[in-house]
Parts: sequence; C-alpha cells; structure tokens
Amino acid sequence: MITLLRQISLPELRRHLLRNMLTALGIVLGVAIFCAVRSANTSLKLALRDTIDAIAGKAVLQVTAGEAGVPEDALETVRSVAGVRAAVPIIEAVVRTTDAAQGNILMLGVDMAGDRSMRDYRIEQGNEEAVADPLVFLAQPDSILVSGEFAARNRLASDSKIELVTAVGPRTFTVRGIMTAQGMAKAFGGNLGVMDIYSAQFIFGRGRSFDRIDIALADGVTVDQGARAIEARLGPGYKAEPPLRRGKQTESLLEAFSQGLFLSSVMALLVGLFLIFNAFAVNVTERRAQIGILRALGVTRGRIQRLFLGESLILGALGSAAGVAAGIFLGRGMMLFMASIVEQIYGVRVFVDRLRIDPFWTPASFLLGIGASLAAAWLPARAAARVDPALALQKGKFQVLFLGENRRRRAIGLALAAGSLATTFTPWSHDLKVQTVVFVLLFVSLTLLVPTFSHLLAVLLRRPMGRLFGMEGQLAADSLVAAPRRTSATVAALMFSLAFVLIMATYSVSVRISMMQWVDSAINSDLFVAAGESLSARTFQFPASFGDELRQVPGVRQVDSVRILILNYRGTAPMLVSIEIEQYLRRGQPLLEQGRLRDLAPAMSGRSAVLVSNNFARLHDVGRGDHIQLDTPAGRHDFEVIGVIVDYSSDSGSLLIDRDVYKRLWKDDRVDTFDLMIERGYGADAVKREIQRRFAGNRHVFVLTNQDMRGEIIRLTDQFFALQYVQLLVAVVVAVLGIVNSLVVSIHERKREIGIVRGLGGERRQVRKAILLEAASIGLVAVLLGIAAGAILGYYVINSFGAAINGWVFPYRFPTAMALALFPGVIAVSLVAAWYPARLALRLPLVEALAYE
Amino acid sequence: MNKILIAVILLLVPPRADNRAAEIMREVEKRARTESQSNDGAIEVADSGGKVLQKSWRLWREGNRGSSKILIRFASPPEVRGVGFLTLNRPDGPAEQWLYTPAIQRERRVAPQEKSQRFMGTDFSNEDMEERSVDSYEYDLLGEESRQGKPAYKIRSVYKDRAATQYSDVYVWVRKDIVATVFFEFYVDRKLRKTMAWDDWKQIQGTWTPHFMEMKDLARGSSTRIRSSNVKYDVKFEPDWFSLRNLRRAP
Repeated sequence: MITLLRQISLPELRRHLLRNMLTALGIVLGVAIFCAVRSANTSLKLALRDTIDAIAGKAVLQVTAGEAGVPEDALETVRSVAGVRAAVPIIEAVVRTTDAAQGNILMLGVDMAGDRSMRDYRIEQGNEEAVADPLVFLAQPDSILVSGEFAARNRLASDSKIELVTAVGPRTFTVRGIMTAQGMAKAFGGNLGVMDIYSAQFIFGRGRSFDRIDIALADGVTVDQGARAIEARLGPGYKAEPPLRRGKQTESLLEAFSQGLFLSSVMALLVGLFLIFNAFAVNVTERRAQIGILRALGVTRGRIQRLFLGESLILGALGSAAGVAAGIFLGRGMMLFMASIVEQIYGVRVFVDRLRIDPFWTPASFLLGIGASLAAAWLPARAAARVDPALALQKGKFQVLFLGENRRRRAIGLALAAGSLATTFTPWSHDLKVQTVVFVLLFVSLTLLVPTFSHLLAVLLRRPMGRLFGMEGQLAADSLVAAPRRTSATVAALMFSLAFVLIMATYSVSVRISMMQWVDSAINSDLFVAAGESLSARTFQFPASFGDELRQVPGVRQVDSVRILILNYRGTAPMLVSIEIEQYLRRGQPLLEQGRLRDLAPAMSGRSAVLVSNNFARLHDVGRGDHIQLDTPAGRHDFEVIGVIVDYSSDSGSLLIDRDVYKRLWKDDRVDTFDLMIERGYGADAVKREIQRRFAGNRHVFVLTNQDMRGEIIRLTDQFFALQYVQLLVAVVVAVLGIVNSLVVSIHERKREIGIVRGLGGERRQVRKAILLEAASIGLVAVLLGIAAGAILGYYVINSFGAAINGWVFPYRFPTAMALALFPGVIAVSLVAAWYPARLALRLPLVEALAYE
Repeated sequence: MNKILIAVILLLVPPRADNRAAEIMREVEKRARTESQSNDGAIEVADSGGKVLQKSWRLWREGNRGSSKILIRFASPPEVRGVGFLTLNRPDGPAEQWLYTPAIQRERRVAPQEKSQRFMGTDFSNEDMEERSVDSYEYDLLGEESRQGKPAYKIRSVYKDRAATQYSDVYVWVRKDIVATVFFEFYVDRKLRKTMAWDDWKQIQGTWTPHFMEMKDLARGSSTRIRSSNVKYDVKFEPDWFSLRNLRRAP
C-alpha cells in the first residue's frame, strides 16, 4: 500500500499541484473558520470564568435573586443560616474611565469591614495591607483600590485621582491602595478596582440592594448542604450556587451567539467537501486508464479504493493543518468581534485579550477536516474501485454509466425533499430536535437533486448561448453538458453558499419588516432616557425619584418608568418588563395576537396578570387564560396570562407586568429607562437638549428621541445579522475556488479540443471568450439553483426551524433585491475566477495540445 | 482611660485552676468596674516604615463586661470626622457592631470578622476587641517581677476554648500597689507576637485609670498608641444614646 502511495499517488498529487491546492483550500477555509469560532468561543468563556473565579476568592456559594438584585435585608437572613461562616455583599460593574486611554475597569463594591475574610487584599511587599487606613477608606466614598497592573499601566500611585463614568455623572475617585498582582487582582485582565459597597450602591444606582452575596461555609458543611439551607431560608426567588455556575447564563449567551458562526463554519466545510468530491470525481475519470492497468496487474478493488482514500487523506491532512494554522491566526479577530457583538446585543462585557487554543476543539478541527476529506472522496474512491478494466479505455461510455445512477438519486432526493417540507404542516413543525433532523435531510435531498437540475439547466442554456455568443457560446455550453459530474459538484458548492446567503437575507428581510411594524406600535414615546450607554447596557439604574425630576423639565407631559430584568424560567432567559401599565396602554396599542385591548388595563393594573410575547407563548405553549409561576424575592408567584402580544424584544420571549406589582414582588423600585411624552408645541430635540443640559455632571443619562430609538433598534438588528456578511464573504471565496478548480480541470480535459480550435484558425480571444463564457454559465446555473434552494430553505427556516429556536414566526418575505443582485455579482466573480484558467488555456503549446491523447 | 480597653485586657487574662491567680484577676476586675464612662481618645498607628496615622474620638460606655454598650464618634482627621461606631455586647452571643458613615449617611452592620485580622488598621486584632468573662480563662501565678518600677504579679493565662483564640498564651503583669494590669505579652504558637503596656496612671473618681496604652506588633514592627483624657465615670446618658438613631445623628 505504501509502495502504491509512493509510486502512484504522490506523483499524481505533484502533477496536479495547483488543482490539488485549490481543492484543499476548501478544507482550509472550513477548518479555519471552525477552529477560529471554537477558539474564540473558548477564549471568551475561559476569560469569563477566570474573572468569576479570581473575584470569588474563598466564596464557595453566591446568592443571587436574578437581575433585580438581592435586597439588603436578605444579608442578615443569610448570616443567620446555620453553617454559614461568612456572608459578604457584592456589587459588580464594568465602568468606563473618562480618559479613553485608561480603558474600562471592573469595579467591585465590597464591604471592606468584612470582605477581607473572603478575598485577599495584600500588596506585594511583606504583609502590609493594601489599605493603610481602612477607616478613611470606609469614611470617604471616593476611595478605591486598584490592581497593580491597572495602576502600573496608568501610572497611578496612592492618592492619585481617577475619573469614572458613573450613574451620577463623571466622578473623581482617590486611589487609597494598590493590590498585589495575584488572586483577584488578575480578574478582568488585571483591570480591577474595589470600592466601598454603599458608595457603589449610590454611584451605580443600585438603590438598597446588592448584586449578590458571597458565602463561605463552616467546616464540615458541604456546598450542597449550604445551598439547600440558604435557599430554604430565603425562598424560591433566590438562588445559591457555586461561583462558576453563576456564569453559565452568560456562557449560554456566548454559545447561542456562536451557533450562528458555527453554521458558517459547517457550511464552509460542506463546501470544501463538495470541492474535494468534485476534484476526486474528475480525478477518477482522468485516471481510469491507470486504474484499468492497475487492476489488470492484479491490484484488488479494495486497494484501489484505499489508494484514492489515501490521497484524500494526504490532501485532507495538509488542508486541515493549514486550516488550523489559519484558524489560530483568524481566531483573535473573531474573538474580539464576538466580544463586541455580545456586549452590544446582550449588554454583557467580557474582557478578553488573548486567544486560548482549545485543547479539544483544535485537534478536533484537524480531524474534522480529514474526516470531511475522506467522506468527500468516499464515493469517487468506491467508483474507482468498481471501474471495469475493459471499459476503462472507453471515455464516452464511462460518462454515460454515471447517468444511470441519477434516476435513483433523483427519486430519493425528491422523496426526501417532499417529506421534509411536509413536516412544516405537522405538530412537530416547532419541535427543535425534529426540525434539526429535517434540516439535515432537506440539505441531503437538495444535494441529491443538484446533478439532475444542473444538467437540465446546462442543456437548456445550449441554444441561447449559441445564439447570443456564437461558436464560443456553444463550446462553453457543450463543455458543461459533456461533464455533468464535474459541473454539478461545482454548481452544488456554489449553490449551497448562495442558498445560505439567501436564507440569512430572507430571515433578515422578514425580521426587519415585522420588526418595523412592531416598532411603529410599541416604540411610541417621544423620548427615552436610559441610564446606560446603549439599550442593552445594564451597568447603571436610575432611582425612582429621578422620574419626578424629569417631570419638572419644561415640555415633559408624561413619564413612564421601565424596569427590565432577565429571568430564569425553565432553563430559558426571557425578559421581564415592568411599566405603569395604564399609562402605557393609554399612549399606544400593542399588537395583540390573543386578548382584547380594553380588558388589559383593568386586568393588569396592580394585579398578578401578565402579557406574554408571541414567541414566549410558542416556546412555552401558553396562551390567554393560562397561568405561569415566576420565582420572585417575595416567593414563587402565580400570574394569569391575560394576552399574547407581538414583541421582538428578546429571542427568549418577554413578559409585561404592571410596575406596582413588580415593585411589590421584586422589592425593587429602580428604573432602567424613562419613557417620556412631551407637550404639544415642544420639540423632542429641544427637550432632549434641556434634559442633557440640566443633568450633565450629576447624572449619567443617555437620551434618545423616537427616531434615535428606531435607528438604535435597526442598528442592533443589523449587528445581529452581521453574520450574513461573513456568509457572503465565504460564498465569494467558494465561488472563486470552485470555478477556478472546475475550469482548470475542464481545460485539462479539453486540451485536444482547444488545440483543434487553435489549429483551425481560432483566435486567442475566441478561446478566452469560450473559457469565460463557461465560467459565466456555471455561475448562472449556480445562481438559478441557489435562488431556488434559498427560497425553499428560507421558507422552511422562517416557518419551522427558526420558529423552533426562538418561537417567532415571521411572515415570509423573499429577498428579491438580494436575489437579483446575485446574478451580476456571481457572474462577475465567475469571470474574475476564470481569468487564470483562461490564461492557462492560452499558454497551451499548440503542438502539445494537438498531440494530446 | 479607656475603660473598655481595660476591660478587654482584663478579659484576656484568663482564670485558671490556680485559685490565687484567679482571685487576683477577679480583684483587678472588681476595682476597675464602673457603670458608665466617657472620655476623649487619641490614637497613633505607626507602621514599620515610620509612617504615622492619627485619629481622635469621643467615647461613651454604659454597662460592664459582657453586656456593655459603647459608642465612639471620631473627631479627626477631617476624613473621618463624624464616623460613628456602635458596639452592643451580649452575654449570650456575639456582639452587634454598627458603623455609620456621614458622607453617604448610611450605617452598616459590621460582619463578624476573622479573629486574627487587624481592627481598623491598628495593632489590635478583632479578638483583642472582644469582651470575655474573667472565668473563661485558666490562670497560673508564676511569681513576682518589677514593672514600671513597682512590684507586680506575673500571671500566665490561657483561654479555655482553645479553638476560639489565636493566642497560645498571654502573660499578664498586675501591679500590687494599685491591683491593676500594667503589661501583657501575647504568644502565638508559643512565640511572642505582641506586647501591650498601660501607663500614666491617675485616680479618677476613686478608680485607678491608665491614660496611656501602647500595643506593639513585634512581627510587623508596628505600634499603636492610645492616649486618653477627660475621663469621667458614672455618666448619665439619654435613653436612646446607644441606638442606631443616635448613631445616625452626626455632630
């Protein structure tokens, strides 16, 4: 076997080095994106865990009450639980310094009177404590400690001043100590600060609550025992869990987001798979004489098959190795991109500055590339093994034999496609597990149908190509028809790329249209005053009393207080929105899918009733009249579902309740956003400017007009769909690779034909034109099939697969503009891709070309 | 003189099966007992590098060991002016401690601390600040030595609940003339870790009262000095003097 590989395979690989490199590039691309996404995801998760772990110190449990925070009075309750040795409160927030060069800093609000039993605050020299004078630290609310690394980077020393952006505007703080660069000071990349917890409550707008309570247990008490005892004492609205488990919600957000990028990588790998299939299928065709001779010399079918698989293994290994290297190179950029998107969409900041090579996924990427290469070469290798030595010398008959297989393949493909699409009309249409299988089957069915339809389109193109472009057009069309396997593989690769682009575009267009309709009904305030710097940021909150201050601003007619929490409900993270429900319903009309508008205010005002979003209703199978239980700091509480509204705030669903009910049950009167209506005769921009002027310096306010808010929502939506541009880029690269590959093979196969054309007086430009037209034809066939596949898959994703993931069913809107733009775009790319093969064809020595075969 | 600190120090002198030593310690405690007290205090904490932090306060106490109530209001430096510290000792459980910060107008409950940790950056540990019964120690009379130029009993004391103390031994010197503790040596794992001296004795309303105290941490090379003045005993307080409401009333 080794001898065969050395004497047959290696020379073959070297002989078609360019073609093999191009083929391997598909694997390189797929493995690179896969490796980059997984490494980026791992790096983000590990950075998050490092920060949680470093800050946790000796804490073995952390008590939280969701995003509402833990009321202060819970602290004494926790301290009184038997088995709790120490319980200290914590507030945690990432804040911006006013000097952009200093960057962000993770501020911990701690009770310095008690936190030293939980965390290490020593400085590097000897046993001196980081805080020389704890009483001054506690007495002066501007006191902070900073980590040694942050201090060194920003040239800070004891008594230095630093200005931070806080909920009450920019504030100057005094550095009263510098922590050793170990333990918790390494959290958040070494950008850590510590301040007194009650000062932190004030400047971060936490009211009378903490973000969590850290617990150390007495000797002999296990973590499970401690957690159960604490949760039993506090009630169902609280959770006591180990520090790292608390980070799971953020990790699941990262994971959910990286799924989209993961699909890109899978798509790229699949495309690479097609390219290898194509290359090997052509290879088998070209080497049939060689195969025949080997068989005649006694080489068994099995060894023939293993020979081709061995070549695929070599190609796959080289491609995978290059892919892993490229993935590591791309990974850092991917990591920063993901961190930025997650912050903008979910408001979660993860500090990450270095890429960590995943010890599992990196070698897994390598093996995946090899696996894809072997899988792609399996059928051609099997076909090679079945070559009859006698028929091997007969070119035409060999091609025809493949067509016979097409009938069975076509039948299976049609059956699979019909069956898959039929599930959208069954009760399993929104079952995620079922629809994942269906999605794979749909993909398989389209793969099986591609050869039939690409051959059909190639035949249909013959006459118009001849009429429009003369002899060159006819030559180009004939080339496609004469090599159906080569053509269909290239078309398939490109078709799927374009189909994925169209799926993303379909989803994007459908979502945008629905989103704008929802925005028109739901976003109906004149002004929005937020405590954070973006809609998703939740670092700061306003005290409820700030609403009274806003009412004093000239031109302000109505002020509604909005508080938003992310809940934990049956393993999902829906959004809870509380607002003064009567005022809210007076100024706008939500789009209702269930329920009556006139019933809402009386049913919800001050009562335990909830409006759920359409996707929440679908995800959890609830409707009007049902009851749901929510865990609150006041205990588990029953809510009646009073209606279902169209709402796109959260892909995990949203729930709307009256603010009075929220304050009573969650013991929290803070506000994330004030929605303002202004008096007639006042302009929104003028009132906005007055608010900014009035509160600059003593409040951190982020004021948006209705137009600004709509723009912000569109921007966030676009961010989410930024992936489609990644897909588009992959599609373009695939187009270039696939077409170059196919044309290089085509030129090789048609050496004699090209020689004859040249010998009969055909000019160079005519040969070039024929090659270019062939490329354009492949592109055109791929676009037509890609649009068809994209339309089918897009419809399926909108109505079933997408709905199974997030519960939303959007009205299907085909992205016509994008589809039409693909025609000139893909054809242009195809022509560019054909440039090199055309040069290759023109460089063929005439004598050699005529002497071919 | 800071009666509370005397009481604390007294409590660090454990009683023991040796009746004579225990009798001496009970006599010390009896002579130092007063029902209430107020005084001004000034503290200097010097670190090993010679850096000195200074503060001053006014102190009020009511009750005695085990059930006393203490309010301290800091007067200087300006950064800590108005900060209040309220301790409510209980005979049947840990003390309740509250700290009030006028800058944010909030009081906070001070959580039970690690015993060996320094109290507010001084050389006193949290254990040193606890009130303990005279009878919770074992005492051993070791003889007589001279202290402050006067003859004094030397007594070794060990806290009976070994798991609840950082000190393996505490040696106490009691001056025979005034029957008051004047010097201490604190041992951790049988190694001398800290010393404390009481001096500048004056008789106030019939009670011998030290007006100077110095705690030295030999391992750290730091020291804490406290000077008392304007000491008064049997002071009458308003009913809510030792309450959170009064704690919040910054001067």
